[in-house]
Amino acid sequence: MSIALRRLMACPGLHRGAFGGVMGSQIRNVVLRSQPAAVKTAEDFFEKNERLKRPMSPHLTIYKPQITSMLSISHRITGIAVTGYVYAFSIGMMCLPASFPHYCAALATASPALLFSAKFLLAFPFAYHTCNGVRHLMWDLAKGLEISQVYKTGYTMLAATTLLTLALLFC
Amino acid sequence: MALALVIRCLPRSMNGSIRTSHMWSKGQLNGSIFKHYPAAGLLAKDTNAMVAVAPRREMSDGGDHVKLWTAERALSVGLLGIIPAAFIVPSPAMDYLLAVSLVMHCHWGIEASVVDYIRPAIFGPVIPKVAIASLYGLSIFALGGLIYFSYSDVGLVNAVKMFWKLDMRNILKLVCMVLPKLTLRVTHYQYS
Repeated sequence: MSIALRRLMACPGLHRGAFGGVMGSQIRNVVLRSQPAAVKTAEDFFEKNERLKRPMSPHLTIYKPQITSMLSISHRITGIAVTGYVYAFSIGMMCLPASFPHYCAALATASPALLFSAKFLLAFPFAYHTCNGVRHLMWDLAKGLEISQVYKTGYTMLAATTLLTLALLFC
Repeated sequence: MALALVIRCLPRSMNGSIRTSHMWSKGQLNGSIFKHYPAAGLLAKDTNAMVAVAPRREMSDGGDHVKLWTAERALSVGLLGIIPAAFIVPSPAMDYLLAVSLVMHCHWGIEASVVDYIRPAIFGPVIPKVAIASLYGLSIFALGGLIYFSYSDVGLVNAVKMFWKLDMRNILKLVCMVLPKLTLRVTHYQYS
């Protein structure tokens, strides 16, 4: 309060007598001037987020793992896995001196469990990526995009993947 | 806020600042959006010039993404036929076709992942370009390797078949070995 009063006293044109006069007849002249608004056009949405150090949205870690997101990321992981096999086989066979039957014969002496595991690791990602790939192609035709259908085809795909993996392993 | 949401909900083709204000001034969107957001219509009319819309971010200018997208899907559908066909009717021609289509599909898939995860906002301007360039090199190398393998070795399909035949007897042996033991253990457990 005292600071405010002191400010009032310091203002020029307010020395019109006692305090009563100050409180009653104070008039401030305000001049309105129009100015063009400062428009920032250089910064886009992503740059602003970066400047304000906003965390990436959506926060993946706060979500409960759902079948939709899990099947989606698995599609990518299995795709990368199969690509890894294909590329490693190609480049590996280029680097190895002997031909394939030689190494295949060597592998025949490996333990059955190891071979079975290897076959599973080859067959499962391939089967998964193939079955889920059909689902993705269906979506690309704008079919089955309702959330209930996404779940239904998700479970169907998992069943198909299991069957295809078993068929590849045992047929 | 509601306005911002409306702008986000617009299809991409309308998501440019010039086009958006143009359409609003002509009242073309009245039926679709302003029915649900009357306040947004009011705001848009009054502050037409001041609506700030985030500029569109193109991955690259001038590239025809529609054709690439369609080609990727066509190849994916094609692989669903080529892979079984290569195993049912094996021939050198099918082997080469399989090698080319498989590597192209792999390359496009990995390229999409690299574009998604190794992006300039995180890795700076150089590393993403190096990653894509290396991927092209790797894919060309892998394709060369597979074609060479089909030409000089047993071929892709035969190699898979040979490996796949390998352990059937061994698996049977494993089953024959493990099953009696399991049965024994179960019976032992029951009688003890």
